[in-house]
Amino acid sequence: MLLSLITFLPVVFALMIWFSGSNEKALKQMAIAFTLIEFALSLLLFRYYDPSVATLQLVEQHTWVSQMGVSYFMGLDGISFWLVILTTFLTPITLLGSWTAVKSKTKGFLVCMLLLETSMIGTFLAMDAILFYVFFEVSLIPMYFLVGIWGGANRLYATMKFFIYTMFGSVFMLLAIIFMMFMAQSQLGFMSASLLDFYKLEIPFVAETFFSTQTLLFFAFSLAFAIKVPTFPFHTWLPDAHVQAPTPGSVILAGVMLKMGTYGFLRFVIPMFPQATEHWAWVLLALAVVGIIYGALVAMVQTDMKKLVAYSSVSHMGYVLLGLFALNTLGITGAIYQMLNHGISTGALFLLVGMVYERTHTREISNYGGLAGYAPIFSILFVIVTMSSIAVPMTNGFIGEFLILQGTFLAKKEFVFFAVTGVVLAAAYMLWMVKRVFFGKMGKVVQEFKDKNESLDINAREFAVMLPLIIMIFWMGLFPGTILKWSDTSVKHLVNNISKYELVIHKNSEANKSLYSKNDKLNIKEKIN
Amino acid sequence: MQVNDMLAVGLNHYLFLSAIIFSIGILTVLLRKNLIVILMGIELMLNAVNLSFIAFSHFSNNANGPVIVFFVMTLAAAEAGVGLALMVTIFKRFKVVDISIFEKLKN
Amino acid sequence: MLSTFTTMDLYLLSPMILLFIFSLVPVFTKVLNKNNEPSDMMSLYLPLIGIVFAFIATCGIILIKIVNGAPKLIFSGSIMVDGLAMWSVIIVLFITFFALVLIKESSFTPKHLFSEYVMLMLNAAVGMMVVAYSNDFILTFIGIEMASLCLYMLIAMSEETRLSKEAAIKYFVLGSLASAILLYGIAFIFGTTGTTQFAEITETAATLASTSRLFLVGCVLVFVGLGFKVSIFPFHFWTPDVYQGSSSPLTAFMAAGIKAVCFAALLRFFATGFLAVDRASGLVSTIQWLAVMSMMLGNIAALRQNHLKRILAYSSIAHSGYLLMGLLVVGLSTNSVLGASGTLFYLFSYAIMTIGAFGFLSLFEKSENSMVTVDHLKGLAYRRPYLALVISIFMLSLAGIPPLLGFFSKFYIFSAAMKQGLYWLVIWGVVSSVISVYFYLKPVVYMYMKQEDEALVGEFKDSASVSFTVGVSAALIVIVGLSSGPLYALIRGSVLSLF
Repeated sequence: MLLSLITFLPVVFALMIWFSGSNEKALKQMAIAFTLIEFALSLLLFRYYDPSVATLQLVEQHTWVSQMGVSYFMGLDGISFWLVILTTFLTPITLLGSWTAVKSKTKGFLVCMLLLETSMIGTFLAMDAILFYVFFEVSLIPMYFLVGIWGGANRLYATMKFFIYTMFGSVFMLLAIIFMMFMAQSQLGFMSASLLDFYKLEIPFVAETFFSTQTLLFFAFSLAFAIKVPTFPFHTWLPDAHVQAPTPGSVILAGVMLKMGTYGFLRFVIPMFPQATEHWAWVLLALAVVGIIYGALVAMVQTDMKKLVAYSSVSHMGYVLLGLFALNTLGITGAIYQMLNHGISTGALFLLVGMVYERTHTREISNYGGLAGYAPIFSILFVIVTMSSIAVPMTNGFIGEFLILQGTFLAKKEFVFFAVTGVVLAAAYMLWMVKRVFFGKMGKVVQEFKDKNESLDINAREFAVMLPLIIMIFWMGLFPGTILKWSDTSVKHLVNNISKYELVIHKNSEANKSLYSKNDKLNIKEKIN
Repeated sequence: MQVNDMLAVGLNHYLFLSAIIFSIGILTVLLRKNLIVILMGIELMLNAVNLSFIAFSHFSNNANGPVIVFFVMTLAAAEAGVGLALMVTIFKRFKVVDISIFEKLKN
Repeated sequence: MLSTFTTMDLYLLSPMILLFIFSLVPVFTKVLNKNNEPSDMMSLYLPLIGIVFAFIATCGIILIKIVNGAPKLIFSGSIMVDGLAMWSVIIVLFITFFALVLIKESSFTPKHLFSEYVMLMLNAAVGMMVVAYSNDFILTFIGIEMASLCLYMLIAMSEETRLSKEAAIKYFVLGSLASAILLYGIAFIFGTTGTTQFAEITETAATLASTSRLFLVGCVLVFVGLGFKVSIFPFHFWTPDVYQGSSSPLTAFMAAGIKAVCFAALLRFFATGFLAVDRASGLVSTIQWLAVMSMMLGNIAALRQNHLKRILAYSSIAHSGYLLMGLLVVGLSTNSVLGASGTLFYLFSYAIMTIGAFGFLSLFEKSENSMVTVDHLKGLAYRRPYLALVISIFMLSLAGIPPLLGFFSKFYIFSAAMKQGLYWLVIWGVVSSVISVYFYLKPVVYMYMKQEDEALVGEFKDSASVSFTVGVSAALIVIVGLSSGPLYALIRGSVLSLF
C-alpha cells in the first residue's frame, strides 16, 4: 500500500489544486504543503525498508491485463530506494524555488509538476515492464507542457524535439518488451511482463554477430535509455530543452528525469542481458567517455550560463554511465551515488542560475562580472555548489567520482585515462565561469543594479530553498556511509549474481512465483498460442 | 458433331466475355468525364459480373448463381437510382454533369 | 430444403430489426404531419431510444448466447451470430448513437429534411450491421451497398453546396467501382469453391489457394474491393476529399462505421485461411508492403496538412494500415486469436477516438466556406479549458501515448504481429507511430501554447450535444485505457469461435 500511496498521492493533490479556485498565492502554498507531506510520507520508507537483505520489498501486485500477463507490480529495492527519496526531496524545493518564476497560469503549472512527480516515482517503483513503459512515457506529457507553456522564446521547437526524440527511443524498447513477453510464454509457460520473470529468461546470445537475440534486445533497450540519459550522440535534445525550459522544469529534468535513463540501464539492461552487456560494454563505455569529454569541451565555449550547465549535465551523466558499465561494486555504487549527486548539485545550479535570471533577465556570462562583491551570499552558495560539481573532497561529488573512477580502473583501465581528463576539464569550465561571473571587473548588468541601488542578493525564501541542498552536499560528502548502506546489499547482490540475476520478493516465498503461474484462473488457456 | 464441337461454348468463353465487358466498364469509369457515361460503366461492370455468376453456376450445376444474380440486379438498380439522383443535384448546382469541374475545385 | 426460422432467430436479429423499425418512425410521422418536420421527440429522440433498445438487445445476445454457447448459424448459414458480429454491432450502435446526437446541432444538416436524414443514417447503420452479421459474401455485398448508398445520399444532403456534392459524387463513383470489383472477386470465389459462405469456403480455401489461380485472383479482387472501402494504400485517394466534404458527424459515422464492418468482413475472409499457403506468399508480402505504405504515407501526408479534417483523414489511412497488420496476423496463422482480438479491440478504440475527434470539429463548422485549420484552435485552452483537455485526450490517444486507450490498442496489435514474426512490419509501425505524434500534438500546441487569433474566434460556437459526445468519448478513452484488461478478455473470449 505504501508504494501506491507514495506514487499516486500527487495525483490526488493535483486534482485538489485543480478544483481550488484561483488565488495564486494560496495555490502555491497548498502545493508546497502537499509536496512536503509527500516527502514526509516517503521518509516512512526508511522505517519500512530493510536494507540488510537484497530482496524486493513493499511489494504490491495486482493483475492489470491478464490476457497479456501485464500486472500492476510495484516494488522497492536498494537500487530504486534513493531515487524515490531524491524525487520527493527535490519537488518541494523546486516548487518553493519557483515561487516567482512562474507568473501566469499557476494552477496548470502546479498540476503539471505534481503529475510529473507521480510519473517519475512510478517509473522508479514499477517492476512490470509495461507498467514501467507507461510511467516512462507518461512523464513526457507534463514535461512537454511545462516547457511548451512556461518556457522561453524558442520553446515549441525544443519541447517537440524533446518529446519525439525520447519517444522514438522508447518505442523500440516497447517492441523489445513485447518480444520478451512472448519469450516468457515459451520458456516459462505463461505470458508475463513482470521483471522478475524477465530476469529468469534464458536469452540466446551469439558473441560474433550483432544479430543475436540478446544483442538486439540489449541495443533496443539501450537506445531508449541512452537517449534519456543523455548519451552522446543522442544528447542533442538536452541543451535546447534546458535552455527553453523554465527554472523548475530544468531542475526536475536534470535532477530526476535524466536518472530514469541510468536507472533503466541498472534495472533492465545489466541484469537481463548479462552476456551482451559484458560483450558490448565497451560501446557504452566509449560513448560515456566521449560524452564526458565532449560535454566538458562544449561547456567551456558556452556563453549562456544555463547552456553551460546543460552541457555539464551531459558530462556528469557520462560519469554515471561509465560507473555502471564498469560492472563492479565500486563502479555501480559510485554510479548510484553520482546519480544522487548530480540531482542535487545540478538542480542547485539551475536554481541559482534561475534566481539571478529572474532579476536580471540575462544569462549571458559576458554581461556579468564582479557579482561576488555585490551579492555575497549568492556567491558563496554558488561556489559551494561548483565545488560539488567539480568533485572537490568534502563534497558529495568527490565520493561519487572517486568510486566511479576506482571501479572503472579495476575493470577497464583504458577508459579511466580519458575519464580523468574529464575531471580536469570540469574544473576548468566551472571555475572559469565562476571567475567570469563572480570575480573580476564589474559587469554591465551588475553595474546597472548597483546604480539603481537595488539588491541583487538572494532573499530568505531562496536561501531556504538552497539550504537543504547545501546540507546534503556536505553530508553526502562527509558521511557517505549513511547513504550507501541503504543500497549496498542490493548492489552487491547485482554484481555478485550478474550472470544469473534473480530478485526474490521479501519474506513471502509463496509470492515468489509470478502472479500468472500460481493461479489457474489466470493461466492462459491452451487454445491461445 | 464436328462443327458442334468446334463451336461448343465452354466456361472459358463466358469468362473471357465477362472479363472483356468488365474491363470496358472499368475503363469507362476511369477515363470518361460525363457522369452519365460513368454510371453506364458501373452498370456494365455489374452486368459483366452477373454474366460470370450465371456462367459459373451453369457449368458447375450449382443453383445458387441465379439467386445471387437477382440480388445483384436489384442492387444495381438501386445504385442507378441513387446515382441519377446525385446527378440531378449536381446538375442543379453546377449546370453541367461533368466531373472535370471537380478537378478545378480542389485546392 | 425449406429454410425455417424461429423466434429465436428473430431475437438474434433484433438489433437490426429494431433499428429498421425505428428508422421508419421519423418519416412516417413526417408524412402524417403533412410534410412538415415533426417534433424532436419523434424525429430524434425515438430513434435514439431505439438505438438504446438495440444496444440492450445486443448485450443480451452477447451475455446469453456468445459467452455460454457456440456461434449460431441461422437463415441457412448466411448469417453467423458470433462474437465478432456482436462486437461489430456494438461498435456500429455506438457510432450511430453519437452521430445522431451530433447531427442535430450541426449546421450542415438540412433542417427541412431532417427526418429523411435520420432515416438514411439509421438504414446505413442497418446496412453496416448486415455486413457484421453476414457469413455469406453476397450478404456482405448487400450490406456494404446498403450502407454505401445511404451514405452517398447523406453526404450530398448537406446545407453546404459545393464541397459536399463533390465529395458525394467522388465517393459514389469510386465506391461503386469498388463494389463492382468486390463482386467480381466474389464471382470467382463462387466459381471455384461452389459456395459463397465463409464457413464452407474455409474448408476448401487452403487447397484451392495452392491449386487454382482463379481462386487467388478472386481473393485479390475481393481484397481490392474491400480495401477501397477501408482506404488502404493505394486505394486511399478518395479519403481526404470525401472526409473533407462531408459534415463532421457524418465523417465520423463513415470513417468508424464502414471501416469497422469492412474490417470485420475482411477478418472473416482472411480467417478462411487462403493466405497461409506457399503459393500466396507473393500476396502476403504485397499486403505487408501495402500496410507499411498506408501507415507511412498516411502519417507523412498528414504532416504537411494544415486543415484539421484532412489531417484526421490522412491519419485514418494510417490507422487502416495498423489494422491491416492485425488482419495479416489472422490470415497467416491458423489459430490467431491474438490477431483477431487485437484487431477488434483496435476497431473498438478507433471508433471511440474517431467520434470524439470528428465530433469536436463540428464545433467549428459554422458557415459554408469554413475550413477548419489548426489556427482555429489557437488559445482554446484558456477560453474552454475542459474542451481543450478533452481534445488533448483524443490527440494523445490517437498518437498512442500511454496510459490512454490508443496505446493499449496499438500494444495489442503490435503484440499479435510480433508473435507472428512480422518484425519489420512492427518496426515500421512504431516508426510511423512516432511520426504521427508530431501532427497529433500540433493541435495541443496551438491550444495551449499560442495566443488566440482574434479573427477566428467568432467561428466557434458552443454546443451541448458536442460537449456530451466528446465528454463521453474522452471518459471512455481514459477509463477503458486504464482498465482494458476485462474488455480485452471479453473480446478475446468471443472471437475464439472464429477458428
